[in-house]
Amino acid sequence: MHVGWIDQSNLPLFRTFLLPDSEAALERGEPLTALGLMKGEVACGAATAWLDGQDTLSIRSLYVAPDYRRQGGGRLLVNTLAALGTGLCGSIQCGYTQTLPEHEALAPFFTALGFQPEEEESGIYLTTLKELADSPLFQNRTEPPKGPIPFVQVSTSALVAVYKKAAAAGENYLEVPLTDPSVDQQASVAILEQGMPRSFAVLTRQAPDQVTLAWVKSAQPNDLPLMLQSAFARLREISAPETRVAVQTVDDQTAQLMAAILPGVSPISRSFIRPVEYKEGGSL
Amino acid sequence: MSQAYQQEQKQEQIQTQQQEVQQEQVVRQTAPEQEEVRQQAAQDQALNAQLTTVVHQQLPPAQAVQAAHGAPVQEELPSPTGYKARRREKKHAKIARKACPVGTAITYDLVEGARLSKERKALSARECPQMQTCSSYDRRVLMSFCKGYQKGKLGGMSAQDKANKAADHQLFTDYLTGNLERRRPHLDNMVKELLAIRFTPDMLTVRNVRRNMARYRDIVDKFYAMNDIMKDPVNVPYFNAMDPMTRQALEAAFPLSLAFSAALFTLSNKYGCDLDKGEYISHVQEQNIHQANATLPEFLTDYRQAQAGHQQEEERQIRQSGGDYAARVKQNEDLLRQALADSGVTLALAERRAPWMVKGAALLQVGEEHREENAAVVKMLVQFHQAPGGVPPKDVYYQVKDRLTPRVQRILDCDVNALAALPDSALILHAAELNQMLLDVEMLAELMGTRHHTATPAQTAYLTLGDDLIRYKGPEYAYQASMIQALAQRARALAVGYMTKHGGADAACFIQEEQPLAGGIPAWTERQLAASSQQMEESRTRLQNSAIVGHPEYEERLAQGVKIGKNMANLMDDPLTRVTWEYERSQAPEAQAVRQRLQDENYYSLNYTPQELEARGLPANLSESLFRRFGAFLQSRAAQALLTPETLREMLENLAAGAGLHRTAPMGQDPNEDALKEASQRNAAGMAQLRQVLSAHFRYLERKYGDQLMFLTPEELAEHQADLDADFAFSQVALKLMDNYPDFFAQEIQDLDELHFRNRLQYYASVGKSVKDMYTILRTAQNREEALTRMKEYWQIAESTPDYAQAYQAIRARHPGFAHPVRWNQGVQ
Repeated sequence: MHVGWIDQSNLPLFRTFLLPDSEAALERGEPLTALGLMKGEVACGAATAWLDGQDTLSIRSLYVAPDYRRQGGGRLLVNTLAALGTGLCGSIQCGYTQTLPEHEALAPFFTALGFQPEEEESGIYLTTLKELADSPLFQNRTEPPKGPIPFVQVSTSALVAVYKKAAAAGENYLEVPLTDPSVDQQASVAILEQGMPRSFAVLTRQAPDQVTLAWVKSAQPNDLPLMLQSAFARLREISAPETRVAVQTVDDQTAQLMAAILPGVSPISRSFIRPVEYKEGGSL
Repeated sequence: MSQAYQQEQKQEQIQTQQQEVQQEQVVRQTAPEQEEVRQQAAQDQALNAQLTTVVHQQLPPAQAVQAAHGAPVQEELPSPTGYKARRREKKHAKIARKACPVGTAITYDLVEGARLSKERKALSARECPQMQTCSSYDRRVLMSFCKGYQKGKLGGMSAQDKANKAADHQLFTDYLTGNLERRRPHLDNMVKELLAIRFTPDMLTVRNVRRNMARYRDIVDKFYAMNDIMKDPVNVPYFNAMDPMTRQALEAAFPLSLAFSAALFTLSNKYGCDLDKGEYISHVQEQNIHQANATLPEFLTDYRQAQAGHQQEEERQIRQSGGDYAARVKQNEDLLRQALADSGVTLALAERRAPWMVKGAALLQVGEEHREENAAVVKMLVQFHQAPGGVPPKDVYYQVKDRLTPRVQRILDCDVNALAALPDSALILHAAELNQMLLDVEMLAELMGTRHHTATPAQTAYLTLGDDLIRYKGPEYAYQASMIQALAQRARALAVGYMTKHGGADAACFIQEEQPLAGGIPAWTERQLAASSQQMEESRTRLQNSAIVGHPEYEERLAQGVKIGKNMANLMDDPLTRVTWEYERSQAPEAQAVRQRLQDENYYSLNYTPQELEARGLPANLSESLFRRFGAFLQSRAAQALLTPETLREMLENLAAGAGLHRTAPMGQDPNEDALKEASQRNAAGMAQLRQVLSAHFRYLERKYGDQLMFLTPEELAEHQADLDADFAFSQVALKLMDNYPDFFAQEIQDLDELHFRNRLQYYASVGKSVKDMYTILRTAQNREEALTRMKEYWQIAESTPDYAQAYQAIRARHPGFAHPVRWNQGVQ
C-alpha cells in the first residue's frame, strides 16, 4: 500500500472516502492536507488533517474501504500525517463520535499507534428512549412531573428573549434559536418564573428517529432532574422506544447528571492524541 | 406624479440611506475583531499552506485508475468541540452580535462563507484584462462558473490557485470571443458541473448550511447563470443540439435549484445573513429577519417537495433506461428499413442484415425532415462498403470520415474514469447517453476497418479509415470504447435490476438476439454486472500494459480530464522520455529489472556487504532510489544535451545490472561471486556515465549561478522558478550518492577536474536543495520585507552549519571563477 497527496485535480477518485467537510474544503482549494491511500492502482482510502494553530495537527477525516482493512493502510495514513507534521507542530489528534459498529475498532487502532485518550470537556452520550426508561431517574414514573411546561405553551417572545439574552452573554453553545424548527417544541420544556423561563431543556430533532439534548439551563439545582424527567417523559409519549437520544455534556454539572441518568454508560465522543515524533513506525 | 408616490419614494431613499449608514457603522464597530479573526484565519491558512508544500515535496500525487467501494457514514450528531474551537466560536458570535440583531456564530459562518466565495472569484475577474471591458451581464455569468483563487500579500499563489487562475482566464478569454467553437468545451464543463450537483433532503439543515455556505452559494449562482447562458443567442445552437436526455436532466434540475435557492436565501436571512451581498443584516433591516422567520417553513416545505419530485423524476428516468437500449436498437432498425425504401437501393437480404449496414444505422436521424438525408446516408454506406477491391472512392471516403469524426471525438472526450468512479445509483442516470455512445462504438467498429482511399486492392498491409480517424490515439480509443461498452452494459443492467425489484421489467427491455434469457431476468442482470466489472478491469489492464500509457504524467492528465492524445504526442516528442517510458511500462524482464533496481529499491553497491559498509560508517544503501522519477533527472539540461536515447538506455541498463542480487560475503567469498562481479562492473560503467552527466551539470551550475544562489531576490525566484526547479531536481540524489554510495568517487582524487567536481557537487547540491525552501517562505510571508528577512535568517543559519562552511570554503578557495553575478542564459559545455 502507498500514499500520495490529493488536491482538486485527483479528488474525483478519492471523493467517496472523505467526509463532506473535507471534500468541500478541497474543492474550494483550501490548504487542507489530504492523503490518498492506494493499493496498486486502486484508491482505497483517504485522510485529511488541519494544523490547528502551531501545536496540534487534527485529523479531520480518516477512512479505509472495508475490503482493504487490516492491511496497514490506516496506520500508514496516520503515521504519514504525523511524519509530515514533524517540525510544524507538537502533536497529532483525532476526535470522533462512536455511532456505528465499525467505529469500535478505532480506539484499539489509535492505542496501537501510540495515541492516548484525551480528556474532554464535552462528552457525547448516545442512548435510546427505551434505555432511558430503565434509568434510575425515570423508574416508576410514567407521567411528566408537574412544574416544567413544554415550549409549545411558552410565548414565542419569551423564548426569543431568553435566546437573545443567553447569546449576548456568550453562554455555552446553542446552535439554533429556541424557536427554530429543529427544536422539538413538544418535548423541550421550561420552568417559568413571572412568565419568563427560569430554567429550560432544549431537545432538537435531526431525524424522525433521533433527538439531541442540545442545551440545558438550570437556575436552581432541583430544576435539572425535574426538567429532564419531564422532557424525556414527553418524548416517550410522542416517539418510539427505539428513538435514539444523543446528549452532549458541556460542563461538570451536566457530566455528573449523565452519570446519574445512565450509570455505567460512557460517552461516545472520543479524542486521541500523541506526539508527532512518536517512534513506533512513523516514517515516510 | 402623485404626492403620495413622491413621499413613498422619499421614504424609501431615507430608508436606504439609513441602511447604508448602519452598515458602515457595523463595519466600523466590528473592524478590530474582524481583523483579529481574519488574521488568525490567515495565519492558520499560511501554516497549513506550509504543511501542504511539505506534503507536495515529500510525497507523489495520489494516482489510481479505480476506486474501491465504500464511504464513511456520517451521523447527524454533534461532534466533539475542543477548547480552541469554542473560544473561536465565542469570538465569532461576538462579532456577529454587534453587527446583527440575531447575530450568532452561525451568522458569522454564513456571512464568511458567502463572502469567501465572492472574493476569490472577484479577484479572478479583476486580474483578467478581457473581463475589464466586457458587459456586466457576461461578467456575472462567467464569475459564476470560474473557480477563483487567492493570493498571499506578496502575490504568491499555491500551485492549485495558479492552475485555477489559468483555467479561469482561459474560460474568460474563450467565452468572450463570442465564438461558439471556443465556448463549446467550457459549455460542456458547465453542463457537467450542474448535472453533478445532487440536491439531497438534508442539505438545508442548519448544520449543513453553516458548513457548506460557500459551496451552496456557488450552486445557486451557477443555476442562475446557466439560465442566461442557455438564452444567449450564440449558445442556442449548442443547447439545441444537446443530447435530449442531458437537456431533459438539466431542465429538470432548474425548478429544484429555484426551490433550493429560495429556501437558502430565506434561511440565511433568518439567521441574519444577507446572502446576496455577503453581509450582516443590520438592525435597520430587522424586518427582513422577521419576514424570513415567518416564511421559512413554507420555503423549506417547497424545497422538500421539489426534491421529492425530482427524485421521482429520476426514478422515472431509471425505468426508462431499462428499456432504452432495446428501444434505440428497434428505432434504428425502423429508420434503416425506411431509409432503404426511400433510397431505392436494392440489396440482397444478407447485405441488409450485414453488421456494417445494421450498425451503420446509428448514423440515421429521427424525424420526417431527415428522411431524404437518411436515404443519402444509406446510399453512401452501400458505396463505401461495396467499393471494388474494398477501396472506397475518395469522395465517398471523406463523406463517411466527416460523419464519423465527431463521433470518434465524442468517444475520446467521454470521461470514462469519472463515470466508472460514480456510485451505481448515479451511473444509472447516465444510461441513455452511454447507450447512444455504445451504438456509435459498435457502428465505428464495423466501418473503421475499411481501407484508406489511397490503398490499392493488391496491398496486404494498408492504412484503414480507423488509422486515419484515430491516428496516434489508438490505445486511448480502444480503452475509451471498451469502457463505454462496459459502463453502458452496467448502467443498463442496474436499471433492469431496479425495474425487476420494483416492477416493470419485461421482454421490452431486451433486443431480439438476447431472448430468451437464460435463467430469467435476475440471472441476466447478475451476469451483465459481473461481465461489465470484468471488462472494465481488462480494459484497465490493457491500457496499463500499452506502450505509451501509465506514465505518471499520463495518469495526472487522465485524472485532470485533459485530452490525452494531443499532450501525450507532445510529450512523446522527447526521445529521452520515450526511453524511460518503455522502462516504466514494459513487462519485459529487462525493463522489470530496471524498475526494481533503479526505482522500487533504495540503490546499493554490489561490492560491499552491509557489515563492511557499517564498519566504514556508511548505510547499507543510498537511503533513496536512484531514479524515483526519471523525469527529475531528465529535466537537467546536461542530461538533455549529453545523452542520446541509446546512451541513456545503456546507462540505465548498466546501473540496473544485478537486480535481485545482494552481496552476502566479502569480495571473493560470495557464492554468487561471478554474477556479482559482472553486475558490479556494469554498475561502475553506468555510474561513470552518470558522473559524466553530473559533472557537466554542476559545471553549468557554477557558470550560471556562481556564488549568488543565496542572494536571489523574491522577484528572481518567482521569475525563474522553472529554471531552478529543473536545475536542482536531482540535488537530493546527488548528495546521497556523494555521502552514502561508496563507489561514486574514486578513492583518491586523481586530478583537478575530479576535485572541482566534488567541490561543485557538494556546494550546489546542498545550497540548491535549500533553494526550494525559499518558495515556502515566499508563499507564507505576509509581505516582501518579511520574506527578505526570513530568507536572510534562513541562509544565516545554513551558513553556520559545518557542512555548508566546508563546501563553501572548498569551492571559494579553489575556483577562481566562482564569484560572479547570475547569468541566466547558460548552455551546457
